[in-house]
Amino acid sequence: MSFFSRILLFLYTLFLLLARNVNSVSAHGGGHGSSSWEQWSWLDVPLLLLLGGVYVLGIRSLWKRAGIGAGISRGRAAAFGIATLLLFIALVSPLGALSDQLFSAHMVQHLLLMLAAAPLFVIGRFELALAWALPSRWTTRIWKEWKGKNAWEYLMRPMTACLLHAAAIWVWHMPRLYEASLHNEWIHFLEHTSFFLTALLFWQVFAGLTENIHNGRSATFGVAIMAVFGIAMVSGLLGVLIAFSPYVWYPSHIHDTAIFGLTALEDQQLAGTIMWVPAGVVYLSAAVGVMGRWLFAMEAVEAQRIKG
Amino acid sequence: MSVSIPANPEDAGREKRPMEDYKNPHLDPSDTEQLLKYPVQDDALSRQWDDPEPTLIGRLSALQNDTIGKRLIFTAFGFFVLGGINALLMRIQLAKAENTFLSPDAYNQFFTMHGSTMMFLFAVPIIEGFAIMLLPFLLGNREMPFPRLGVFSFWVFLFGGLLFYASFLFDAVPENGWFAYVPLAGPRYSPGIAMDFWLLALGVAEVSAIAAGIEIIISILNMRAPGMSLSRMPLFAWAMLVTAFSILFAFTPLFVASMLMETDRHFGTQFFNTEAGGTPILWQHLFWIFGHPEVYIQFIPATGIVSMIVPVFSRRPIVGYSLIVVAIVATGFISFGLWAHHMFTVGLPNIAMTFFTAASTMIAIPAGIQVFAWITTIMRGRPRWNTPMLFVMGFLVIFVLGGITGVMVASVPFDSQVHDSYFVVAHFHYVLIGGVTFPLFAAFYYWLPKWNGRLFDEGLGKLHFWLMFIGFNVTFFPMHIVGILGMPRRVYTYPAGIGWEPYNLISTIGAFMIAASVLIFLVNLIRSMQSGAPAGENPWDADSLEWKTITPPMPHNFSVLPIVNSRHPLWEPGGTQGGTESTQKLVNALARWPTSWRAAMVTSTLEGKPLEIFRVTEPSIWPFVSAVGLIIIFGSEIWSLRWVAAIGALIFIASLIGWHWPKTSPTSQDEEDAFAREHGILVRSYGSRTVARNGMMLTLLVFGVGLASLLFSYFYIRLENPVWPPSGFENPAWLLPLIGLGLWLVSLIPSSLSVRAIHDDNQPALRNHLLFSLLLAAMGTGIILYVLLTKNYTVSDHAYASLFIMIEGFLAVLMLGGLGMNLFVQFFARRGLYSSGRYIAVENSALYFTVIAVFGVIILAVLYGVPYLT
Repeated sequence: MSFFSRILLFLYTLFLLLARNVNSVSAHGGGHGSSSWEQWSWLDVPLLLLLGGVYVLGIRSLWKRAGIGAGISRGRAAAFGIATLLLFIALVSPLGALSDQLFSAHMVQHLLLMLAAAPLFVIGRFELALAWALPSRWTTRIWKEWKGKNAWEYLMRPMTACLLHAAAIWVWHMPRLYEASLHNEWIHFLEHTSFFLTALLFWQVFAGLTENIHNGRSATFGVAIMAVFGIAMVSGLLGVLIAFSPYVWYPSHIHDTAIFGLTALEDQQLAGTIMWVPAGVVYLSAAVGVMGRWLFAMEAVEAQRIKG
Repeated sequence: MSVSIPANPEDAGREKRPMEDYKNPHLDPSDTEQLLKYPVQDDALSRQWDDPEPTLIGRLSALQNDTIGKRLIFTAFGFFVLGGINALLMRIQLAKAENTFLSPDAYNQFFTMHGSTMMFLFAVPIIEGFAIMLLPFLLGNREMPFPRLGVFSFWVFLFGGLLFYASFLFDAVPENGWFAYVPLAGPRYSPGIAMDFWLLALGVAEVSAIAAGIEIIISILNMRAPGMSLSRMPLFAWAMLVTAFSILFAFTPLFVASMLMETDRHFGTQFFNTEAGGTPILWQHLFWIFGHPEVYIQFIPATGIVSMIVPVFSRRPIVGYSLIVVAIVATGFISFGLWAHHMFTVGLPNIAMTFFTAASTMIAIPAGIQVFAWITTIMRGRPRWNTPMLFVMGFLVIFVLGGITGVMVASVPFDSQVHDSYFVVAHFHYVLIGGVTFPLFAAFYYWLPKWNGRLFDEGLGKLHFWLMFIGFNVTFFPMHIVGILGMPRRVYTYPAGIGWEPYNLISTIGAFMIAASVLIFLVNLIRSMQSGAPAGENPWDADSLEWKTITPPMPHNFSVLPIVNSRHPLWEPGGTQGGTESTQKLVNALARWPTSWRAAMVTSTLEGKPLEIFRVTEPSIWPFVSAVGLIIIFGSEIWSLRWVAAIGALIFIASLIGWHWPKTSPTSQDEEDAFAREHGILVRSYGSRTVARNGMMLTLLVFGVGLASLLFSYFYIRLENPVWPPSGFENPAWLLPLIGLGLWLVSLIPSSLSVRAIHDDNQPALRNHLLFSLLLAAMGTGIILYVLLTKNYTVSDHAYASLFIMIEGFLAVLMLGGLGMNLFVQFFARRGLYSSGRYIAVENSALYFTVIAVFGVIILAVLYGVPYLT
């Protein structure tokens, strides 16, 4: 990457941050009292473009060096494509605006971030593309700095990843903080970022634990299943609380739900149940998928043995 | 280099011989060639592993897995008979309309005792009994990892069960159903001590279940035969693995819930009292978070039994091994997400119910997978219809019927109609008797001959089966109809002339048919023990390792550990030999050395590679004493005799110390090192690091689940109170507790340094760091205790106050436990017990400190943060 393009990248990032600030003033100007189905919030488009751009840059230089499909297969690249599409749906499409009005829509948005986009990022091996997008000097330096460092090891432990992710999920649902995020675009950004990053960390650790699954070389997939079960329970219990609450947690949602034929409480119950059941099904699928993949790999090994 | 392996010595006689005969030659572990020329040390090993002489103390200390397993099985079976008698009395009462055989109160007592006995004192303990008896054999090892924990678990369970039934002696029999809903079971509407019997006696039985669960998990993950990779593990072991984890996750919330209700009753807390900010629905949640998985805790092992029996009697390998494993795991997972469907009629939001109907029917998928796998195995095999197989067929038929009615009640509109009617009674008896009791009888007929040495009588067995199968359907099928006709559950009688009488009479007749069939079983059991045909080693031509041993098995199960290289080791030629030459040498050497301590093998979780030879603990009276201590604590609380409880606590703590008192090794360090070098394996004559570490982690997991249950209660009660903290309470002052926790966090530094010191064998540093961490942690604990004891409110002021003190108290107790552990380690560190080769206790203590710090952060964040954030 040339010096010039690095300057460009820096300026672009600066522009992103400024644009956010400017936009956030106008973002909440209208909206209340009418359905926001037609509102597209272009606020996050530059960010998505940045992510996509970095990925494409990285994959280009990787594939140029090692051949198409090397390191990151086409399927993985496609997974990343789907992830950006989902981020687009979650943040840019009217779902984003709707989530200012409906708690349940907001829940769907968050789950898209944490349960769809984040694992797809991991599948797309975003970190690898990032490493190739950055100047190799940086990459080696970061790698040297971080590798073997205690802090990094601790961060990548299943326990830490679970605790951080669980903390992000729980803390942001505390009414004060959630309300703050609805009224301040910066806090909202922080909320989404912490959801997304901790989810990324969680799924990255999950992927690390299940890495050797096809050759059956390690038993860490069991830890992965426990981790996903733990997170499913921890976030499911929060869903239970939301679904069972006799009153509305976030007054800011109260005014707008009637447009959709829901009382605020029903909207909240829907949100809680979505967090409980459909999200639980995603975690379950991850666990069953891992278990199944490992077992069928083992089955092949066993068949080989009997034949041989 | 050729290895000379002597002829199979496992046929050696087992009759008792005088002591001196067991004196073994002193074998040198450093020269394998030489060692293997000696015969296998069957006698010495038997002597070493056998239970102590059957004196009183000896019997109370006995800890062999067969002994403990059999005791659990037969005790639980005794409770099954008691529960059955309760049921018969109820059926007599209901045989005709407006009957006066039982008073309404007596009827309530009997259905409460029946349900509670079957769920807590029969199904789970008997399954754990089978697991403890079978697993070391199935997995090809010599013992369970924590035999003393097994002993503790058995005595606690027995005492808990007896205490529960002692309620009859005090004329204070619980009568609020096995679910004990508040407010009916709370202090206001159930004064007296009946409910305390329920809460405390069953609470202690839950402790027993959790203890056995920990042991079962480690046994399955780390104590298998060499070469038995996870993918070659018998399906019963897979089922028990998932079950044991479910027990940890399900029984812990129930135990917490029981303690919350007990403190409501005896200490004036307000968790379930709506007038002081509590909520009774919290009980329902906590109960069903346990209650729903409980169904699968019983059912999954039963499927494991079926998956063992079906292939043997179909004479072919099971179809879809992998699919069955995935189904078991999925069932365990799903079972924790569905508890709300027991609460359909509580008044859940409509939206939520739609999701739950969908999710509840989902559980039919893994169950269906397993059922089809069994049917296919039978269809593609050459089935033999011996008694065990008949019971499996009975299971299939009845369980599928129960499953179908299950899908029916998963639908909310239908459930609203039949809720609390006899339709539901019919449904869950189809599931539980069909799904659990039938497979358990199959297990009796299938496995007991191995331990009795004698077969059951086939004719009586078949009579038992047919009478039970027909009797079961005669009893419970009419209940579907009478339920749809509107007969409610739990009524002591019903009016004549509304068409319910014939169904009830038929049901009563059926119940007696079941009772008669159980009597036939008992006759068959006694007859087989006295004069049954000899079973031989492998009467069913089965495929799994337990059938490889002599009948009945030696105390140490295997002299030469099998080396497994197949899913069906006894069906494939060479299925229990093979392995690499070094593994063969290892297992053969292990049959000769050591004979002076009880050596078992730790293998790697995934591939079953030998990792450690370690010493399994010897018989000891202490686990029994600690069970006595525990039961004194719980039992005395029924009458609120706190000073007796204090004595119990002293006994409990003292016996824990005695229990864990370190042992010196009978073999010398040189010998152990020689063996270790020779075979490239760790030799630990004091205990395995893997086992100890995993035991600590699982214990901490249980504490974590307990903490999660408490925090869930906190937030749930928070929901019921629009103002938080409620009026009259100030926002909590956070500075002092934060300092306390901070000190504990700082104590982690010396505590982790102590681990480094012991790895470097630096004794002075070890002692200093342990002391520093103790001082810092003690100051931290002191501050937390001070904060706890100087509140300007008491537990009875409001549910908020109850929660605050309960959760902070939980933290304080965990911290005190950490201090105790540190003191224990410190005591022995000062005597130079630990070294770079013996460091597990130091490591475990440090691990405990770390995890408690994490708990502390979470607890203080919630207690001191939430009032500001909501």
